Amino acid sequence: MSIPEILQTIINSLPMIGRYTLVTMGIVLIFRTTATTNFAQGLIATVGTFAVTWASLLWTDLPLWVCLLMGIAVSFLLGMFVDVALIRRARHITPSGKQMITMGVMMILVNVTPVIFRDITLWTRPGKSFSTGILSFPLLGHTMNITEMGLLGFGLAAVVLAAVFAALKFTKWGLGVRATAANESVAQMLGVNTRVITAFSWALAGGLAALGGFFTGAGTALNVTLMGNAQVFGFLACVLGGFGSFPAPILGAVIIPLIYNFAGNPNLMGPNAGMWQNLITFVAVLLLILIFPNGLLGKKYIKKV
Amino acid sequence: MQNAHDSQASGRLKSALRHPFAGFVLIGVLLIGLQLTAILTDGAWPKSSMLNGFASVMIYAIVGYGFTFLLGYAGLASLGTAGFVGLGAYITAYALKNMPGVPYVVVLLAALLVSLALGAIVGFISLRIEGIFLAIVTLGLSEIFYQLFNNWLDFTNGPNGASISKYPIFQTLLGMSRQDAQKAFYILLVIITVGLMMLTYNLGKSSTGRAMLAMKNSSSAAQAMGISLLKYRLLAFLLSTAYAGLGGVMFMSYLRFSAPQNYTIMFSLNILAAVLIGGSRNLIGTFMGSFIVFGITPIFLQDIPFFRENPWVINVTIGLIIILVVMFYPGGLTQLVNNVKASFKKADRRLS
Amino acid sequence: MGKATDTRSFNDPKGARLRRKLYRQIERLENDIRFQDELMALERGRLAPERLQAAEERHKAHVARKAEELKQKKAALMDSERQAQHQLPEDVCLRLDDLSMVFGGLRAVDGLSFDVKQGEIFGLIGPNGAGKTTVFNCITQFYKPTSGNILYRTREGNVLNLNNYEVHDIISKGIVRTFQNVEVIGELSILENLLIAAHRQYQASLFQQMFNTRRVRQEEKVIRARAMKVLDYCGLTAIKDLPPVGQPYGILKRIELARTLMAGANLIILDEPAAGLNDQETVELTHMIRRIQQDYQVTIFLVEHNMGLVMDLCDHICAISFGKKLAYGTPAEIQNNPTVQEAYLGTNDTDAMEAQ
Repeated sequence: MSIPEILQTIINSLPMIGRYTLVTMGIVLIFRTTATTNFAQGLIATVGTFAVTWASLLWTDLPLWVCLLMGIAVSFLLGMFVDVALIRRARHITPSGKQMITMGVMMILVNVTPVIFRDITLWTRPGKSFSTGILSFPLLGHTMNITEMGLLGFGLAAVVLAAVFAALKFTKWGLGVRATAANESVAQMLGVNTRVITAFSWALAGGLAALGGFFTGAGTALNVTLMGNAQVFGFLACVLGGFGSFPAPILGAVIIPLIYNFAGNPNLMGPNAGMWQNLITFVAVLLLILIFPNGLLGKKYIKKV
Repeated sequence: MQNAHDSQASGRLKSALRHPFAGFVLIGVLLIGLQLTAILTDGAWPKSSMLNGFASVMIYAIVGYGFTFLLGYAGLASLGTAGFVGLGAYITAYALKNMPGVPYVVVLLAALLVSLALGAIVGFISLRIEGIFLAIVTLGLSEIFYQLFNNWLDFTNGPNGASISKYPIFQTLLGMSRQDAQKAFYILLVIITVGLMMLTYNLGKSSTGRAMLAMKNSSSAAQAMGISLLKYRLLAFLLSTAYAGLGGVMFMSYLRFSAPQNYTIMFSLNILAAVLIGGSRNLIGTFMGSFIVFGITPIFLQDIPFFRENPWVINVTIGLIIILVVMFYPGGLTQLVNNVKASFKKADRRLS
Repeated sequence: MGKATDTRSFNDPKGARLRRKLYRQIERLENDIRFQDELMALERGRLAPERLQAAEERHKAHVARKAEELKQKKAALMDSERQAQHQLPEDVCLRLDDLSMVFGGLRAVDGLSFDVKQGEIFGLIGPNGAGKTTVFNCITQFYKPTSGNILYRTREGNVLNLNNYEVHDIISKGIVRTFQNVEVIGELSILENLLIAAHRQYQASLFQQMFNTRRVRQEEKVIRARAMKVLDYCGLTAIKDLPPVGQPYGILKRIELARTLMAGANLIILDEPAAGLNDQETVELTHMIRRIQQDYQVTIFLVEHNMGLVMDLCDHICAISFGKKLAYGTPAEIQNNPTVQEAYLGTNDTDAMEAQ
């Protein structure tokens, strides 16, 4: 592959990096505060995305970003609901049990969503559509292309994630999250309202995922499986980066889209690259996990016996 | 005055009935009975669609038994079951179509070996970390399998699905007619299912089963008693993949058709539901769970237009049941039955 | 002590690998020095005097460097050989040798060394947070120690360095332990909890277990019989088929203790066996531990806060504080040791006054 091709492939990965980092941030927030791997994460995002579409088709005068906020709010509330109504009540079961509850939620959402949003299949408003413009800019002497939507997605994701990390580091809420993530019972004893913290974490995770879902679905036909890939790779990003800290999974969420886009490059992988893209990415990630069982940035945890 | 010989015989019968295998044999007898009734009534009742429904229940129960070790004994959840079942099915179809001379048993073994090999790789990588990460990796694996089944046209014939034209052994080897072969294979399926129930029961009661339970309840105590966590988690996962592969072989052999749509995460979740509902360690419970999740629809609800047009209602109900069972009744149906029995005993004592 | 006959490699594979590497390096260094010397000898006959001096300087420097390296390698080899000796006096069952366990910045165990003699009851005492349970976890390999050796003599007389083994292999060496937070298996009956403790003695294969062959049934019979004996010994026969859930704490502790008797152990490690027991139960426990020592001929190593029990039972005691050894001796010696008194037991004021 020539240098401009390599650079272009990296640039092509940026939109996906934007979306995946959002979803991954949500997953890791939930995991570190409630020790749950939320398998309904992708669907919560999808529901939010459907909600955005529905709102924008129903109230055609509303600017899109308002509809986006409404969709995010839907996912926000849905995530909070799952935590408060289900996970919280089952606090004393095994981590496997909590996983299974989220699997049940996944099952319900996958079947209910197409029924509720029955007539929404396309993402275009009468008379309006998403910009399909392509920006060109020079990089290291070569011309690079990126879609406007893609750049917007990446940029917005970067800003939002920076805000979340800033909140984690500097706000009281962030401190509460980190305390709960380290040790929930001790945090409670120190006066941290862990119920509110975890509910808000689930909600925030839902909102972030919905934003990611919006950029995934914008301009395409919507389907319940919209965020299926994102969820799978989001989880793998967490395992790859290491569940032990907040930034580590983000690293994973950057690496996986890069692998994905290189794996799908026809110059590199041949004409059938698209078919095997997922498989190659998955195998590559598995190999990396084999070499780094505690994640790329992971720390080995020694359990107290 | 009771005849001493009579009471001795009835005593032996009672102890035979209390033997754990009694339930399994009973189920087998009932299932075969259905088939025999169909033969006697010349297909009037049970209808063949109902028998196929029961066959599906058996096939999925087989998959569920493997899942029992994973969930009920080792306490791990996996979302990749569907892929391994599909693997078994597609290997069967491919081998029987393209390698006609190969005996059925060899095909079966090949499917098992491939499932085991893949399971070993995936399991080793993910179980080295923590048990709960198995679910994550198998989630990815499931997607990969689905795409593989859809795209690898040479092997799986893609979205159109793979099929075999004749029932193995009975039609191919013994030359029976299609209808007779179907009936004969049904009976073979019953025998295999009941046999597997017995084998699974034995394994669960052995030191291996106890080791897995120890691991699930207290990993530290298990390690102190010489149980290697990686080894037994991997073993549980491999058992589940082996059973799943076997289920796939049976699926293709009896239903003779399979398409990638069969092997989605929904399927893995349904197996999870079936095992959970029945009580993750109880084999009769798993059979009942499989019946509830996979059997009620084709056997009963197909005739009700509401459910036929709105299949989502059933799936949503199953999802709800998963949540409720995990939250409130982790022991599933078995726990429910035991509680009912216990409250009857209490009532008994209070009355007497 | 040549490479071919390094039989200590079974006990210490890492050390054996190190020694093999050192042998190879030493051989290479010696060959190199010899080669340089012989080369120099040849050159001396050839070179002109001016070039010769520079060559001699170079040769000397090179040989000096290599000789220094050789010295270091030989010292390392001698060290490793000394370690590999695993010399333990006949009467010592377990020896901690400069054991350290560091978690991030915290030195939980700091250069701890002591001996546990064969067949005795040994106690480890210290204030809370002194690192006692960490020591246990290091010995049983739940934690891999940061540095130091743990030498142990098996029943057959082999001396092993426990650091070379995984946590789930420890029991097959004859070491069993109990846990501070009683870890019984809730989903098994009390009898089955004991069967688990003999897990490594079930030799039947997976297939044999699936088909419940005669071998499997015989193993079950044998080990069940042993479990019944142990249950009887510990007074648990009446409740053997019940799950441990809901049993009183004292019973749970007794189950944990019974488990240690199932594996034919050589060294039994008890982590706060008297925690949570009332006075009467503690007395029963004291009798039970002494009986076990005599009937089963084992070495017992325990950690306890209950001073009465420790002073009563133990033949030797080691007191630690902040991961470091304070004192070692018989109960009487420990009681009278001023450092221990200050750190842990508290001084007796009247004695101090009388001394004046």
